[in-house]
Amino acid sequence: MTTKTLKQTVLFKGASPKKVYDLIMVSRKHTSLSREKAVISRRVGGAFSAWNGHITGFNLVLKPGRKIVQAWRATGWWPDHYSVATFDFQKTPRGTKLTFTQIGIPPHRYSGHYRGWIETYWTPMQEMLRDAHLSPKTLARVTIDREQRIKAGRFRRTISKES
Amino acid sequence: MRLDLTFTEHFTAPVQNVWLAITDRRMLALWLMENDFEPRLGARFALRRADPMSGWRGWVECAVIELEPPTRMVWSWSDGAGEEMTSRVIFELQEEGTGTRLTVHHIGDTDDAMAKMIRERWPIKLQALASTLGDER
Repeated sequence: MTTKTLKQTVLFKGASPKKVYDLIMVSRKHTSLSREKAVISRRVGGAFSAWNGHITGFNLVLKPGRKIVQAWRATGWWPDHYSVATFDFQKTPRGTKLTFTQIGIPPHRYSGHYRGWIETYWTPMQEMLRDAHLSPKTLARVTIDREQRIKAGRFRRTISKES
Repeated sequence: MRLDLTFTEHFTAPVQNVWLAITDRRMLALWLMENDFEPRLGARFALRRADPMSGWRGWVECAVIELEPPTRMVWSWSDGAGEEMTSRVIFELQEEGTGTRLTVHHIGDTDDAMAKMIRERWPIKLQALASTLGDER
């Protein structure tokens, strides 16, 4: 099974590592990035889901303000296949540097996730930390992303028991 | 062929987290193999590879034969090399500073080809475990 590794580095100007960490790990704050439900356990081994179930996984390592490692998958991936996503937070004179590494991505989803992390995580996170709200451009981007997921069938479906 | 392998690794994670990584079915799948493991004394389970190396059937039949959370676990290990040839995998965890020292012993009998594979694969698997626990190697 061949997979790909994604690596990105992003600076959050003027924000402490703890504030950046909390945007990912606090359910209410994570929900504010996408306007879609996120439920994040803050326990090692605990589960999380974001983007209304499009992304699911469980926590492997939690060091508040320093590191998050999660088993992470998206809808439409190979059954039971998880990547390992590592968020390393480093305080710098200008703010917080986040080094993000994700190993084990199915190759056919790599480019989508590469773009997705920038457009639907790092950009909204930068805006929330700077302005406390999302810009109209980012809100539009998030909406388009949701519509594309629905169109591509990459959205969790709930099957009614009565159907 | 007689197997008598010992691997020792230090992880920055505390013992409870390393124990979870070797006893949680989902976490085992991330660094070892797909499995139906249960952390229960006597539980039988299989470790499976979707794309096994040539010359191997692709699964290992195991059972939990000792379980002492969070410091010791022993599995029986039957890799299909021969009906009479079985081995044991012993996991031992010990606090080391603020982290954990994990020792893995693999002891028993298997054929030459399987012994070579096991000897080569454990270091790779333990490196994957380190990544799963957030440690750089």
